[in-house]
Amino acid sequence: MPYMTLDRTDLPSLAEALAGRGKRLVLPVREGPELFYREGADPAQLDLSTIPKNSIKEFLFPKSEKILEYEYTGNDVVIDDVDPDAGPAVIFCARPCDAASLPVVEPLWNWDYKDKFFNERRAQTLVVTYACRTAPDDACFCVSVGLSPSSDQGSDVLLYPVDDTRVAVRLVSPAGRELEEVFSGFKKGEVSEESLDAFAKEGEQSLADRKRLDKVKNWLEGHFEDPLWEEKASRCIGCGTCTFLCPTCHCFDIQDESVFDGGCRLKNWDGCQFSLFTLHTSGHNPRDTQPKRYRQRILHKYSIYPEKFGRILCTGCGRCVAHCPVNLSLYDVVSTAQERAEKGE
Amino acid sequence: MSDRTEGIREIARKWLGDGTVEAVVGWEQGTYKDKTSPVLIRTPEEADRLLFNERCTNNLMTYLKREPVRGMEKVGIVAKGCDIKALIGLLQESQVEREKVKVIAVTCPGVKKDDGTVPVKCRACDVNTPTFYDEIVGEKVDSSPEPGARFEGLEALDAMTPAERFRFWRGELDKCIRCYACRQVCPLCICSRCIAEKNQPQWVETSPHPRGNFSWNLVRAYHLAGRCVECEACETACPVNIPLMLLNRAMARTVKGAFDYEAGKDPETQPPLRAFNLDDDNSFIL
Repeated sequence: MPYMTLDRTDLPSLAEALAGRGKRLVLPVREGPELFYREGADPAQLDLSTIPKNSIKEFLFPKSEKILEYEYTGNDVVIDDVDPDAGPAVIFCARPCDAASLPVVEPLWNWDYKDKFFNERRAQTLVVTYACRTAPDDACFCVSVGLSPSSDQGSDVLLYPVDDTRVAVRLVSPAGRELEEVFSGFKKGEVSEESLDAFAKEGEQSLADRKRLDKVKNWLEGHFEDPLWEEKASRCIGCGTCTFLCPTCHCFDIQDESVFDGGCRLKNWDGCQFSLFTLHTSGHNPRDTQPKRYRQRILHKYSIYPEKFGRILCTGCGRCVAHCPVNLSLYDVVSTAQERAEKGE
Repeated sequence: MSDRTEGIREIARKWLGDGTVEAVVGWEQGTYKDKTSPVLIRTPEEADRLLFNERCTNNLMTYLKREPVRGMEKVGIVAKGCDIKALIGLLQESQVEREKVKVIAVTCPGVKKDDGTVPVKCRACDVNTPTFYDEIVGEKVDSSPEPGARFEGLEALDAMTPAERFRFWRGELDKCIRCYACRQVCPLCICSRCIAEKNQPQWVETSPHPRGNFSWNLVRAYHLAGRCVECEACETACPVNIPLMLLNRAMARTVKGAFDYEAGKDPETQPPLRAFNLDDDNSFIL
């Protein structure tokens, strides 16, 4: 089955057409030396030169979100539910590792409690993904966690930049197929299914040296105590860069902010590398050193979450590798674990 | 710069071998692109991991405030001139004992940022050849600070009306995600429990909304006024690219103007905002 192609130069117009009137539009634009996904950015500024520094997480799980309001009236507290500040949205030219984060975290947001804030945003968000012809950054390792530079997981539509001028379109989900007419309006030609397969192969080839991380879970289960944690993570400074840039990290903190006669409750991003994250009221902290906190992050991603939800809590986007202020590389740590497992250590 | 690398390794090997120090904090080759990574070396055999090159951007003094280095009796630390300014700050404030820290100073022609550009601190550098250390490696490098480099960018802010300036900072601080990378890499953010982590009462809102972000970033800037040594660690680490050094350098310029003081120069002096003299200028109050 052939797939339609569009001109690359038509992508900004396509973004506008998809967003139509009143939809939020998120797309990657350049800010200084780096790219960021930004809501409301000018489509003409669309920049696809590399992977953005932030993930698409913030458009489904904002860094701070009001979840209820309350008023004091006499001796009573009146609680008002609030609805998510959501609305129809288009994330245009997400990277496959970002789109793939959505099916990874969906079970979490629908486990013992259905999080209406995430779910409502998710239901209203169309994800148009821009496949990577080759790995856009040295930090990329999507193939290590069973994904690929042209993975369609979590995508409604997948765009393949098959060469410098043409972009092939694959409508992935029912929501994506409903938009066939919009895409057809930009149709300039066709490519064969084989050429998309070749494209996918080229992407995977560019990451041929990355390790499959299929033995990491096993290794972790037997090495809760191991010199590796101290060796790698004593350099960790305990900031939230890795967790906050991560498309799959989802921990949050609840804060009540009051003024005189009422206030609101907020759901804010939180991170396991902060010393306060597990500090008990008694003063005891079960994760009292940075290597223990770092171990927790790896265990959660590669052992605990897969155990519970059947998926690795990592899409190999590499942001935690590229942007760690002290170059503590998650890939270095998990690939070391994999190597040791392969050697039977 | 390989002679510097050799020099660092030789001293580290000697100190670790004869028990002068328990460990040496230095840089090693990183795993991403040409980045380096801070490393804690504990045995003479491991000393060959240490290196110095133009990508040794991290200020390692931040490790003096945290475990396991904090608990050590004696520690060696590799440092550029700009990093040593932070050590001077820590000594002034009695945060470390001079006897505990053995400094391997390295002369430095300047470092490069991730994007290949030269940081402002290098263009404005007056300590290419450090003067405060236990051992020094590398050929002498003369300093020729580029006039005006240090405070460049501040003119544009000065030219704004207060309303324009507020809008500028509102835009920048809106980006803050409260990852606290700025605080965590900062060698002079020394509070064992930061005010942003105190909740009885909660002085600073932890939410990354405009009010919370202004509170946090301004509290940090004020606490660093006259103490910040302009190592740029915070701005380099910031994952959302807030120009934090504009805040810090504006503070440094004010302190310079009001007290003729520059942080990180002389361990025998005290930062003006933490010292009191009867003959201090009171004209701004009275």
